[in-house]
Amino acid sequence: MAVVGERSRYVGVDLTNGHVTDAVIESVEQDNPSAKITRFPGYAKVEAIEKLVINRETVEEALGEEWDTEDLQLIVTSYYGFIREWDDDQIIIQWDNV
Amino acid sequence: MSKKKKRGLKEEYNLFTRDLDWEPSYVSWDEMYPYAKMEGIKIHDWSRWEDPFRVTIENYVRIQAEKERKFQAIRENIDMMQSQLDISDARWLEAMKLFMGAAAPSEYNAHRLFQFVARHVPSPAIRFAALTQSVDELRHVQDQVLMFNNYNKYYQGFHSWRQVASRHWLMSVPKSFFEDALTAGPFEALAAISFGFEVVFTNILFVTVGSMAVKNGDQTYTGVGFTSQSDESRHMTLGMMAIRAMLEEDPDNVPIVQRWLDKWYWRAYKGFAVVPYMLDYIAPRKLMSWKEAFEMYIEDQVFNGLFKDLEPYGIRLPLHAQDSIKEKDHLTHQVALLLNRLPHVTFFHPFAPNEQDKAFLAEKYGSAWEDIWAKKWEQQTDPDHDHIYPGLPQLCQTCQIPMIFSEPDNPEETCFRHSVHEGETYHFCSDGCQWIFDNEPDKYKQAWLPVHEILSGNCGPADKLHEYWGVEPEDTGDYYESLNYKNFTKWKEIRAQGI
Repeated sequence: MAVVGERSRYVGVDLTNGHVTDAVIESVEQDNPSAKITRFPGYAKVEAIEKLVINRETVEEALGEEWDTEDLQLIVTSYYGFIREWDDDQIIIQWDNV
Repeated sequence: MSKKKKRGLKEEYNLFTRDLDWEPSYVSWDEMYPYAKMEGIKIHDWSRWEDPFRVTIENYVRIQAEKERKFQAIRENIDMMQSQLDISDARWLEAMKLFMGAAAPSEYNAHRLFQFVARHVPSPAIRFAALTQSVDELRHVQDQVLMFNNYNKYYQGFHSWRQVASRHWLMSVPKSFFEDALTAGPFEALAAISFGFEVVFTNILFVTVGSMAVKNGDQTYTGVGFTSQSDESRHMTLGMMAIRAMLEEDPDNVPIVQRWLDKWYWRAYKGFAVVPYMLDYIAPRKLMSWKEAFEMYIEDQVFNGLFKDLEPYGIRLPLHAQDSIKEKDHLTHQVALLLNRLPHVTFFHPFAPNEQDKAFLAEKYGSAWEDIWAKKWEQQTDPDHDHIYPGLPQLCQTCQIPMIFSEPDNPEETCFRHSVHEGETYHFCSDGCQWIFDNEPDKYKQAWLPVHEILSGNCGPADKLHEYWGVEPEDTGDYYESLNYKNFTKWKEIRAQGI
């Protein structure tokens, strides 16, 4: 079977380039020890092993202004994993079967 | 732009979306949802399913308006800055003719499909998410038509996209794909488009093509591609919620869902057959190969990621997944060679790979390129032979693509399958397409196959097919002999002279 079965299972979001994305990336690096950022033309792939957390407060600190979690919709072009939580303070993406 | 609301996201969503659902009293439940039970899907409690995005009309309208403002600003800027000259090579536009020409009418069909889902799936969460998606799809098609308008000012070949989309033989591939989903029941339609298409395949399409557009300096597509794709995460979430709801609510749903995943994985995979050609051949500046994109988005994220989470429900990989894995070294070359043999009946300009393209293909495809495909291209471009195919190709009854694909274990042998149904013989390009037909022969026997229709005289006189398709003579033929190539080269020269 050609499918890779051994490596860690990442979850992730693809974010279009811009200043909010820079702030989200900064927050993800701070709040997720396994964060992995890959840059592509026009967008960045932001991943973490099994679980990715985006905290509103950390994003706001990096951005220097208030930020609504629902505004992630303006920059997220794709994701993989399940959205486990999306409320006013936090977005959590993870696999269930880990 | 942040405003602190009186209620939290969760409460807002429950109050304005899910809790607005009602029990019918003037008519029975079965009369209100006439298609809800016909596919055999059993749902016991819809109320525990919610959209993780928690979209309400209020935040939907605000966020979509913001996206649209951004897009329109980019569009204005393109005209102002003469950005058409920043494109790496006008050859890139050939990818846009193929890709956007197929995508724009498909977005409209998706709009119709989600209207149907929003009406007939008896779940408040799914119905609301489907309603917003149907509005999204309308926004996408409108933005994409505006994009044709941008291209049409400078480049030839975008003048009749609608006629081409509904009549050209190549366009019957995406058209029949969406019409197939549109004519299914509401749950299958959801599984087909929300899951098979959005979750599994759209990344590879919009994200990689969007990124490739950035690399090739095409601001028009960058703008429209990313604004469309920004809605896709919400669409993918709908797909995953719907699939999980069906799988968790009743074990009897599992075999039904598995059959849909088997079918729609293969339908979508074949429907995307032109994408590898865009990534590996058309793009003047490459981003990644089809093989790499397939490994990243399909094998890693979907097979190794998502399907592992579906395993506990009793779901396995799609039936013909292994065939698509085996094909990843070959598919792109098969499609490129086919289109190169048919430049007179396309609506865009195919071309043979130049030295730079060949170096990329050699690097990415290694022995598959060296041992097989480089040689085929040598034969194809041998100046002593004419390698234009003069006839009409045989089409697969299911995916409607010419029969160009190979046996999974032998890339040099063309795969031919056939089934007999009610005394008629039907032909298929692959085991996957044959399997789909054999499960629903009465549906697929009705397929409107362009080649059959041309030969039956249903597309006008054979010598006037271009008129029927909406294709001008200068829209066809090799790119390096086209008006687009000549114009672009001239503009670049003028710009280089500083005039």
